[in-house]
Amino acid sequence: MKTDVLVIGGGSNGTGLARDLAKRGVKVMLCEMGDFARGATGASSAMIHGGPRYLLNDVETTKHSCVDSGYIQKIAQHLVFRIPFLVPVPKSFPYGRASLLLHDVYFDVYDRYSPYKNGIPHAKLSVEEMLRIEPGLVGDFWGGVTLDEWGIDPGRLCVLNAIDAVAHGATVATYTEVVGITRGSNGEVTGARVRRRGEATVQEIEAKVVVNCGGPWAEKLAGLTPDSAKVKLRPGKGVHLVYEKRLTNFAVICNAVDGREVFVMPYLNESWIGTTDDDFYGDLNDLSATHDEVAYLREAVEHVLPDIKHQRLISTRVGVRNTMHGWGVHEDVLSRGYRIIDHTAAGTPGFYSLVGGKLASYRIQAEEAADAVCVRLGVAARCTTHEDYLPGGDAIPDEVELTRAYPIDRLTARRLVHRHGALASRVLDIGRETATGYAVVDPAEPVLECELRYCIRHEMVKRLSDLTMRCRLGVGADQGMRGGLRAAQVFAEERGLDTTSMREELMGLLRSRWRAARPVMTGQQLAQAELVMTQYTGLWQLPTLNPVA
Amino acid sequence: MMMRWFKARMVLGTALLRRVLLAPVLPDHGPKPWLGKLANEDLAAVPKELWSYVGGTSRCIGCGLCDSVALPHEAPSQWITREAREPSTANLGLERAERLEELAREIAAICPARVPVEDVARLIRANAETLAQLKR
Amino acid sequence: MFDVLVIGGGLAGVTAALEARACGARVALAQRSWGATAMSTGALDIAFAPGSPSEPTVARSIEGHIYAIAASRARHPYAVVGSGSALLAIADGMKLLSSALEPSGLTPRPWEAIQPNQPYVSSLGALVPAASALASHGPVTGGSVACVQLAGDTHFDAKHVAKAAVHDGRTSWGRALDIEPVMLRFDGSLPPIGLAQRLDDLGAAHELASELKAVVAGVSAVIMPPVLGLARHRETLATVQDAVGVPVIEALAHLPSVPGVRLQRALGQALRAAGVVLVGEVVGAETSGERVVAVQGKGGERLPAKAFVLASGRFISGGVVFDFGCREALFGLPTVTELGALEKDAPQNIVRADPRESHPLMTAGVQVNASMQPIVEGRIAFANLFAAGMVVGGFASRFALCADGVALATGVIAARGALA
Ligand SMILES: Cc1cc2nc3c(=O)[nH]c(=O)nc-3n(C[C@H](O)[C@H](O)[C@H](O)COP(=O)(O)OP(=O)(O)OC[C@H]3O[C@@H](n4cnc5c(N)ncnc54)[C@H](O)[C@@H]3O)c2cc1C
Ligand SMILES: Cc1cc2nc3c(=O)[nH]c(=O)nc-3n(C[C@H](O)[C@H](O)[C@H](O)COP(=O)(O)OP(=O)(O)OC[C@H]3O[C@@H](n4cnc5c(N)ncnc54)[C@H](O)[C@@H]3O)c2cc1C
Ligand code: SF4
Repeated sequence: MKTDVLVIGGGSNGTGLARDLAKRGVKVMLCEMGDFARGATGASSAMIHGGPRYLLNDVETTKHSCVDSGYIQKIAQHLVFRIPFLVPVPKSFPYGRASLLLHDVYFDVYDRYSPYKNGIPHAKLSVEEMLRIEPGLVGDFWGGVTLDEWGIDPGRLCVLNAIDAVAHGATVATYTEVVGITRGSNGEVTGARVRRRGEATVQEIEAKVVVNCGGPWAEKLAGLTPDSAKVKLRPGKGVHLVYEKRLTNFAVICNAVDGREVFVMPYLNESWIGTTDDDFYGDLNDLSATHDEVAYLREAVEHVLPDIKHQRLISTRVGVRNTMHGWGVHEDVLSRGYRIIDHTAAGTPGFYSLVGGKLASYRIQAEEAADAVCVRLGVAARCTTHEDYLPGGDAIPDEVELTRAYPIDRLTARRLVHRHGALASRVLDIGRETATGYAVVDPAEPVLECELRYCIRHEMVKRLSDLTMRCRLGVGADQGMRGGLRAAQVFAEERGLDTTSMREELMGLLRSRWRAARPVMTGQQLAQAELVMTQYTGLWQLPTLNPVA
Repeated sequence: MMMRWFKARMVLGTALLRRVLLAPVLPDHGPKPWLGKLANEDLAAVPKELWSYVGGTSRCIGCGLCDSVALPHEAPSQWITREAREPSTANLGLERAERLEELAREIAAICPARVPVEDVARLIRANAETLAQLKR
Repeated sequence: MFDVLVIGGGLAGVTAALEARACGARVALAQRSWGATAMSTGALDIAFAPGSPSEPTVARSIEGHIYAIAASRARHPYAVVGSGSALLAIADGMKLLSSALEPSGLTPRPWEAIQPNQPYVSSLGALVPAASALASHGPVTGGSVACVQLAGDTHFDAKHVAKAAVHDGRTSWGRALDIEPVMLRFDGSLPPIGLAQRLDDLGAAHELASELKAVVAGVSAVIMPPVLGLARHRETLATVQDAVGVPVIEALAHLPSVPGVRLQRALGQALRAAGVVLVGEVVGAETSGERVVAVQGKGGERLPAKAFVLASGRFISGGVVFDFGCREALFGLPTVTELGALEKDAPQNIVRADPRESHPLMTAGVQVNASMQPIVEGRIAFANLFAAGMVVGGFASRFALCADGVALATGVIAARGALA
C-alpha cells in the first residue's frame, strides 16, 4: 500500500485533514484504530462554539472561532442546531448588581463576532423573563444574559468528512492501528506499520508524510519515533451525564462546588450535564465515569435546577481532552490552543503532529495542517473545505414532502433530515427493497430499517456498534435492548454474516452501551439493566463469564 | 501572549466604559429580538408545571407489555419514547397523546415501571401548547 | 380480616395465594401491576445444573440438579431451604400451577414427565435447556423441522433461529436436527403482541394454518414465532395444530413476550376462580413490635391480616430499589446478594463491565431463613411476614438460576409458613 500522506486518527481533526488533502488532490490514507469519533470528538460537548471564554485572553481567537463556526454551519447545515444558553447571574456573585452589567457588557463584546456565526445580539433578561422561559430555575438572581451557540452531531461530522475524503480519492481504514513509523536513512518518514483489529500481522504502508491527529493519544503517537519534537498534553478527563429527555430547550450555566462552570444542555432528544475536568493519566482505552464525578455534576446543577434530581439518568459519555500542556493559566482556558508541530528539526522530516485544538475549529486546524503538508509535498492547491458542502449539506429537504413520498411520519422524517440532509430520500429509497424497510428498529430515536441498511452500505460501518455513531442506534433509555437484535439481523444480512458472528456483533453493541450506562445504573436504569441482562442471557445461552460467584 | 491578553482586557475595558458613560444615548434593543428568534427554530419555553411531573414520564423500560391493551396495529410502548422526549416535536405527537389518554387506565394496571401515561400525554400537550404560543 | 395477604401478583405471589386457598384460608392478593412474570419467555426454569452451559449433564435427574445448585451457591434459595424441601415444594408448586393454567390451555407437561435440560428453541435461535415450559413450547426432539417466518415479522428471523438451533455446537443433546427456514406470506407487519391479537381471530388462524400446511409438508415438527393467539391462544394453537398434523412448537419469546402476557393473564384468572380477593397497590405497612398488623392500600384503606407474604419482585417490579443504597421497597428491609451483605456502594463496583458476567447487584433481595421469613441483622424481622420470588435475594433472574423454580418453591413455603 502506497500513499503520499498517512493521517493517524479518525476524530474531527484526522477526518477533517483527510478530506482537506483529498480535495486538494493529494493521495491520502487515514487509519483509525477504532471507529470514527471514538476519542475526544465523540465524547465532547458537541458544540461548535465561538469561544466567548477566549475573550478574556485573546480576542483574535474568539474571532477565528466565530468565523469558522460560520463555515461549519454552512457546509453541514443539516447537522447543526442552535443551543440558546441562559447564564443566570446569582446575587451571590462578588460585584453585586454590577455583576449583571459586567455579564451584559462581556457579551456585548462577543456580539461583535456573533454575525460571523449567524448569531444575533444577546439579550439581558430580567428574572421574570428568565423564569418565563425556564420556570425550573431556583435561586436568587439579578437576572440573566443569553448567549447563542451551535451544536453538531460529532460522530456524523467525522463520518461525513471521511466519506467525502473517500469520494475524492482517499483511502480510509477504521479498526486499523498505527503501531510504528518507518524511516529512511536520513531519518525521514517513509511510512508506517499498521495492524488491523483482530489480526496478528503487521502491514507496511509507504508514505512521504505522516500526520499524527491522535487527540489525547498524540503524545504517545509522537513517541513512535525517538526523534520527535516534544508533544506534551495535559489530559483532562471529561464526563457528561445523559438524561432520557430533552428537558428544556435552553442550556443553563451553573457553578460547581469548586467554582467551575458546569452546564446542563439540550442535545436532540436528550439532556446532558457536563463536564468534569480532572487530570487523567490512566488507560485512554478504558474510560468510565466514577461515582464522584457523577455526584459532582449532579450536585452542581441541582443548585439551580433542583428538579433535575428526579430525572432519569440513562448513561454517560466519557472522554479525555487533547489539551496542550502549559497553554495559558487556568485549566479551562488551556483548551483552545493548537499547534501543528513539524518534527523535521527534531530529526524526523515528514512527520507532523496536530495537537490540541477544538472540535469547533477542526476545519481551520485541518486547513493549516494541510497547508503545511502541501508545502512539503510541493502541492499548490488551495483549501476549499470552507465552501464545499459536506455530503447532504447542500440542501434541507422538506419533511412534509418526505412524509408524502414515503410511508414515514413527521418525527422520523425530521430525524432523517437532521442526519442525512439532502440525502434523506436516498436513504428512504432503500426502504422499498424489503417488506419491512420502513419498520422502526429502534423506537427511542426512531431509527428505520432502511436507514440502517443505508449506513451499513455507505457509511463505512465495520461493527454493529458503529451504528451508534451513524444513526444513534441504542442510545435511548433501553440501551439497545429493543433495537439491537433487529439491527444485528439486518447487519448480518447485509454483510452475509453467520449466526455466530451476528451474536457477537449484538453482544458488542450491548456491551458498549452497558459500559456507558453502568455508572448510572440506579433507579429505573437498573431495572432496565436487569431486563437487558435477563433477556439476552436467558434466551441466548450466552456463555456466562463467571457462573458461580 | 502578554500582548494578546492586554489587548483582550483593553477591549473589554473600553466596552465597559462605553456602556457606563454612554448608557443614556446607546440604543437598547432589549430582549425582544432574541426571544423572537426562538420561534423560527421551535425553541419554545418550558411549560410551567413541567418540572414537577416530567420525571415520571421517563420511567419506561420498554418491556412492551402495554401493547397488549391496544389495538393490534398500535404500539403505545413506542409512543411513550417518541414525541414526548423532545419539546420541539410535541406538536407532531398530539394524536398519539389523545390515544394514550384513552389507554392510560388500562396501562396503569399492567405497566411494571409505573409510567404515568396520562402525564406523558400531558407533557406532549403542554409542550405543544408553548410551541403554538411561540408561533403566534 | 384475611388469614393471608399476599403482596405481588407474579408467579410467586399467585403460587402463595393459591397454596393458601388450597389450605382453606381467606386470602387477599395486592397487585400493583404486572412484573417479571409477564415478561418471561415461556420456559419454566426449575433445575439446571450450574457449570458450563456447553456441557449440559443430560443424565442427571431433577433431584440431582437441584442438589447441585444448592451445593454450589450458598445463598441461592434452594440452598437456604435445603434441596430436599425445595424439591418437594417445587413439585407441589408445579401441580398447583398446572391446574391453575388448565382453563387457558397453558398447562405444562405433568411433573412426573419432567426431565431437566430439554432443548427448547428460543426466538434468538439458541437451544435453551429447561426442565419445563408452558404447553405451546415443546422441546425439539430431532428429525427434520421447519422454522416459520411470517413475512413482515421483524421480531423473529427464522433464518437465524434455524441455523443457530442446528449449529448450537452442543453435541451432547445427542440429536440430529435439520431445521429449514420457511417464509410464509401471512400479511402481518405488526409487533408480536399485535400479531397474536390478530390470530385470536380464528378466521385468520385458519388462513395461516392452510398456508402453513402447503409449505411444511413432510416435516416432523414446525417451529413458529410465539404469536399463536393471545386471549384465544388455546383455540388458535389447536386450529393450527390440527391443520398441520404435526407438532407446532412456539419458540421461547424475547420482549415483548406473548407467552409472558398469556401466563400473567392466566394467573389472574386462576386467582379469581380460586376466590382470592384482589386489591390494588399497597403503599405502606403498619407494624407493631414483631408483627405486621396491616398494610395500607393506595386509596388509604387499611388491610389487616394475620400473616403477610411479600412477593413484590425485584428491580423491574419495584419490589427492591437501588439508589446508591439498596433496600426492599415496602418495609425498608435491607438486602443481601449472592456475595453477602450489600454495602452502600456505587453501581460500577457491584455491576460488572460485561452484561454477561454475574453481577452482585442483580442478585440483591431480602435475606430469609428456611421458612422464608425475612431476616434483619440475624433476627426474624416480623414473625408473620414471609417472602417469596424475586424479592428474595441470592440469585438473579438470569439463565441457569431457576427463577420460576424459586418462585414456585418459595411461594409454597411462604404460604405454609403464613398459615402455620
Ligand atoms: C469532555 C469534552 C468536551 C469537549 N467539548 C468540546 C466542545 O463543546 N466544543 C469543542 O469545540 N471542543 C470540545 N472538546 C474538545 C474536542 O473534542 C477535541 O478538541 C477534538 O474533538 C479533538 O479531535 P481529534 O481528532 O484531535 O482527537 P480525537 O477525537 O481524540 O481523535 C483521535 C483519534 O486517534 C485515534 N488513534 C489514537 N492512536 C491511534 C493509533 N495508534 N492508530 C490509529 N488511530 C489512533 C483514536 O482512536 C481517536 O479516534 C471537548 C473535549 C472533551 C474531552
Ligand atoms: C425478560 C425476562 C425473562 C424471563 N424468563 C424466564 C424464563 O424463561 N424462565 C424462568 O424460569 N424465569 C424467567 N424469568 C424470571 C421469572 O419471570 C421471574 O423470576 C418470576 O416470574 C418472578 O416472579 P415474582 O412473582 O417473584 O415477581 P414478579 O413477576 O416481578 O411480580 C412482582 C409483583 O409484585 C407487584 N408489586 C410490587 N410492589 C407492590 C406493591 N407495593 N403493592 C402491590 N403489588 C406490588 C408487582 O406489581 C408484580 O405484580 C424471566 C424474567 C424476565 C425479566
Ligand atoms: S408497559 Fe410500561 S414500561 Fe413497559 S413498555 Fe409500556 S410504558 Fe414502558
